[in-house]
Order: sequence, then C-alpha cells, then structure tokens
Amino acid sequence: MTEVLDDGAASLTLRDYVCAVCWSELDKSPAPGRMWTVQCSKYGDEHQGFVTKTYVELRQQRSHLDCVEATRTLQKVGILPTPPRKSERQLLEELGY
Amino acid sequence: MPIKGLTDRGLSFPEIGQIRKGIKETRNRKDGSTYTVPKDLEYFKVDFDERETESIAIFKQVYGEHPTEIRIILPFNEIERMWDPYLEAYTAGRMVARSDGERVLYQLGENGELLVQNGLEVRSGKPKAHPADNVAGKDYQGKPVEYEAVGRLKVIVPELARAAYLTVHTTSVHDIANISDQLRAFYTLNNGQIAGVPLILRRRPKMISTPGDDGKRVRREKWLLSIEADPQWVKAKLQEVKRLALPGNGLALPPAMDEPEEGPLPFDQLGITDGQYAETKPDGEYHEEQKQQPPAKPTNGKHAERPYSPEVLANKLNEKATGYNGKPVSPQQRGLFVGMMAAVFAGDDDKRHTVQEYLFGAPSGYEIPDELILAGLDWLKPTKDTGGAYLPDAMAVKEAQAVWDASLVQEGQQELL
Repeated sequence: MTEVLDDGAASLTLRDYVCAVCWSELDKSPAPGRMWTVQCSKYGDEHQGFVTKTYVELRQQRSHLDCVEATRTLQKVGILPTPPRKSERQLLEELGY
Repeated sequence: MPIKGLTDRGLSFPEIGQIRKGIKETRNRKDGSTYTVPKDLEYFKVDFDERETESIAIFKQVYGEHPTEIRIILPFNEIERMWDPYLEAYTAGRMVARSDGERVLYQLGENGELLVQNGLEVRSGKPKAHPADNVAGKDYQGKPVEYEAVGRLKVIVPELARAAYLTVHTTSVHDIANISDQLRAFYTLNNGQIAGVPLILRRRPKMISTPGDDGKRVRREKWLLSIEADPQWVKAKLQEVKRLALPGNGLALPPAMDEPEEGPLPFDQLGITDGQYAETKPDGEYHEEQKQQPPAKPTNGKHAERPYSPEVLANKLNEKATGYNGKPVSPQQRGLFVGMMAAVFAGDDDKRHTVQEYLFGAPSGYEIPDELILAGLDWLKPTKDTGGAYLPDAMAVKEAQAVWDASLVQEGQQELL
C-alpha cells in the first residue's frame, strides 16, 4: 500500500522519515487530486511504512555495542568460536610498539 | 516470501528475518477492489531477507517449511533491549503515538509536531496518561486513530551460528502478556542471566475470549506464543543443583582448622620477575592435582582433596597470603591476576567480581591486597599455551566456578527449573 499525502505531509515525511524496512530515503511522486505518493526510493511500493531518521541514527549507534554483546553471548555458549588469545607481544606489535 | 532490503540497514547486529504467527489473506470486494484480512496459522511463518540464502537453507533444513517450534537464544540480559511490547498508533504509514498502557511515551500532533517524548509532554514536562478512549489522534481525513497492541522480540536462532537476529512479531495482547511474564520469570529465576540460555519458541493452543460475530465475546482456541526453557538445559541445571546439594559441595560448614600449614615458597623465590610468570611448577599443595577429581570433602582442612569447596578454598588462600605479608605486587602481576580471573569466567565481569569479593575480600582486582594477589596467582597458576597466551589452571577454573554456583545458592536464588 502506498501512502497518498497532501503537500505538507509529503514534505514533512521526506524530511523526517526513511523507509521502515530498508531505511532508505523516500521519494514522492504526483498523485491525483493534487496529492503526493510517498514511497521507498529503492524498493518502491514493495516496502511499507516509515520510521524517523532520529530512530535510525539511534539504532545505528547502538548496533555495534549490540553486536559485541551478542557475539560474546554466542561465544560463551559455544555457538561462535572464541578467537585465539593474543600474547602481550602480539598486542604490542599490533599497536605499533 | 523473502523480504527485500532488510539487511540494507548497515547494522553490525542485523535483523535478517521475521517470524510471524499469521498471514494476510487478500479478498475481493464486489466492486473488484481487494482488501486483506489476517489469518492465524498453527505454525510459524518465517521470512528471511532474500539475500540470506545460506541462512534460509540452514533454517529450512533444520525446521522445514512450517515450523511449530524454533530453538532460540536471547541476545541480551536486559529484557527491554530485545522485547518491545507497546500500544502503538499508526497513520499514513508512520507511528504517531506509543504507550505502555498507562502513560503515553511518544506522540506526534496532527501537523507532525512532537507532543510527547520519553513519557513527558513537551510543553508541560508532565506525564500524559494513556487516553481512556484509546484514541491517539486523528488522521488527515479526520478519522480517529486508535492504539493497537504490538510486540516485537529479537531472537537469535542458534543453528544459523551468526550474530544476527530475527524479530518475532505479534499483535495479540495475550501473547504480549504471556511473553512479558515468561521473560520476567526467566530473569528472576536465573539471577538476571537470560542471554545465551537455550529456549524454545512454541505455539501452544489456549482457549481465550475473542469477539464473536454478533458482537458478543466467545471463547475460541488460539495458538499462542510460548517461550520455554530447553529440556536438555533444564536437565543439566537440575543435575548441577543436585550436585551442589550433596554434602561437601560448598554448602556444609567449614571444618575446624588446626595450625596453618607451611605455605609454598615465597613468590619472589619462584623465579618470578615483573611482567612474567614462571613456567616451572612451584612447590606447594595448590599443585597437588589428581586425574580423578572426587567432590571435595573437607575433613580437618589439612588433607582436603581438590577441587576445594568454596569455604576451604577461601581459607587456603588466606593462609597462603599470610606467607606474602609485606611483599608488594607489581602492576603487571596484578594485571595478570585480573586477566586470569577474567579468563575463568570468559569475560563475565559480574561473575568475576562476585567470586573475587568472596575469595579475596574485594570485587575489583585493583582493590585486593597485594598478599592475596600473590596467593591468587599461585592458585591460578597461569601457564602459557602454544600461542604464548597465559591460561589459568583448570582446577582453579573448576573451583572458581563452584564458588560462583555456591554464591547463587547462598543468596537464596533458585536455579531455573
């Protein structure tokens, strides 16, 4: 389902929102009755819904920490392999000392 | 049907699929237009991003086309980081309000202006109660927009062996209440540790009250979501509880101690220099390893066998520390101690701090007195592996784990059944 919005709502949506599925920018195209159709710029009407850009930024900031914690959890239960420990000398060499 | 673009988000911990309980059936009106109606299923509908071909193949191989139960792991210990149960209102494809049923947490006005954020009204700074009529506002046509229940749960499917999650979607208030209760129960019974616990996501039939055709309520059988502990894990946990309950496994009173035995050679005579740890086996009773490890049965404290019970271990460490009184520990030795204790608990700092407080009197490795650090290093006996990294002694790992298990029991926490 593609959203049909008036001019103000369409501009506001393009400014503050991205696609809810793939987080891509949105596009608008003219619709009957001096309205606008707003949809995902990448996948068109295959994707439904919008989320705010602020929400996307927050999720992206948290994602790295989430990945670290989830990876650690999976390593603890033996689903992911634990990387071999590096010696003090290896660590210092990697740091450039 | 595969989802396109789900993994385009560029997240380090990506969502690669969605798990739903039903589908939307398309029906035709008399005028030729179409509309959709939700249809409940008795199995899970799992859709992956279309590019996740390997994960799709693995999932289908393990669970088939119509899975009725899926093994899952929760990625975090904090429930709110992976479970979002809210009342949400949508219009024109976007969320315009969110509530927890008591307070409005987020709300946009009709012109898109922010009215409520983080549970407080932007203008007044006061909380806003959830509206009694369940109406969040009006859409651009002036029609009321109502809140609806939404639940989203992030889960990891262990067979996929990836740090990536699927989202379980539900709009059933019964599911949301059930999952919230179950997650809280797991969290409480397992002392706040639910990440990594093997669980099973199932659909269970239950008679619930639903709207009837004539507007009255009728009871119908619905297949609700249920999260249950994996039976194999429960069995292992019960065996562990049983083992701890046996005499001499840390729950008995410590034996009467005679005069402390002569400790091992002082640390600085073991050939240890700052930043290094000797690979030779120092003398001392901490190194009386036996291949057969019967449960520790403290007698008079002199001849207790390893693995030591927590009480005996703590006493032994304190005795050994008296031999190191006045001897300073270097920052490298303290760091080695912390590193070895971290290795014992695979980086779980909560467990490490608890055990360190019990055995050495302080949760942080940097607060433990020098003599206890040296005694601890004797106990941990770090040895180099083939890669040059230090690893703690296996017996010390076992004894440290027993201290953690005993601490849970002593705090009155019941093991998850």
